[in-house]
Amino acid sequence: MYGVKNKQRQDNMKTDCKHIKSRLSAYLDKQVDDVTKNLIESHITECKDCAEYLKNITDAEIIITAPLSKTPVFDTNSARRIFWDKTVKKAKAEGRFLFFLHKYAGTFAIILILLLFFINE
Amino acid sequence: MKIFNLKKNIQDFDSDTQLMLRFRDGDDNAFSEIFNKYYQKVAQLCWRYTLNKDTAEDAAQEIFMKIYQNISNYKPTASFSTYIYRISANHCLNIIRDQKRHLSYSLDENWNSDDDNQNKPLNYIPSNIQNPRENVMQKELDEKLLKAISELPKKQKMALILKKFDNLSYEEISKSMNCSTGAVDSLLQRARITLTDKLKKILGEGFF
Repeated sequence: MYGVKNKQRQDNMKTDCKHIKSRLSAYLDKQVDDVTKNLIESHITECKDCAEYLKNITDAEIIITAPLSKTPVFDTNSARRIFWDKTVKKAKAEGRFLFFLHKYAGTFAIILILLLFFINE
Repeated sequence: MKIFNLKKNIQDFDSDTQLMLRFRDGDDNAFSEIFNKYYQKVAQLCWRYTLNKDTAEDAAQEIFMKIYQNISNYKPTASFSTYIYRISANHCLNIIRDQKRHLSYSLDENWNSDDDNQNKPLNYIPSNIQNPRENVMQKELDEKLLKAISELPKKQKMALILKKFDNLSYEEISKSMNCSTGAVDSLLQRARITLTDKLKKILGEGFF
């Protein structure tokens, strides 16, 4: 009887662990409600496996993303000058070209048809 | 009469949205202010995603160009911050899709002026797992860590960057990435599992 109960308890624990592990990422991000938070915290004080899992995902994230925390220097003033002097000018020029193309598309089409007609003749 | 009540005044919006509305009305200086305020954030997001300074600078220019060109369609429904993150995230996710190239990363780029030894990745390793210092050269380890990040699936990587470095909530990330908060939760969970597995491979099982 004890063995059956113990096995059932272990199975319940496994289910709990699966559920708890699936919520640990959100727990780290403080995106769980108070009920889930309390459930997780009471579970990891008893469950070594889940506590270790939480420590592992926390450490892994800290270590692997560490190189991303210091970015190269980006010069805002220089970038702004490039934006107005080159990027916007280029876009306006392209816009003008597209406007021109669009406006005279009919004329271009007629010229092309006439050219093809005369070539075939 | 109700229609008039529903119409918001420019003063009712947050300061960034006010700048966008001023820009929509033809004030280029307002756009410059937006550029000054958000360029670093956007460029940093692009760098963290691409791990290449030149690509990040080009991407940031293109993102601001998109905002500039689409100003006539701008509707102040969401906060400007959400708006710019959405454009930036979509743009970054499309960089890889379009170019389909392996983006290189470099540890020799100019780092922020406050850079010192404290900023090197090894110094982030918790004291209880600092043993690999003796076995692996620091640069080699840095490169392995950056490679591990670069190999994350793109959506997982973007969600992780937005959460960890831009400190967005799940709801803000979901708006930026056009997905549900449940999907964000799942992306971050999978990203963390992947990172743990990768770190085990880099440092060896013994460190976990």
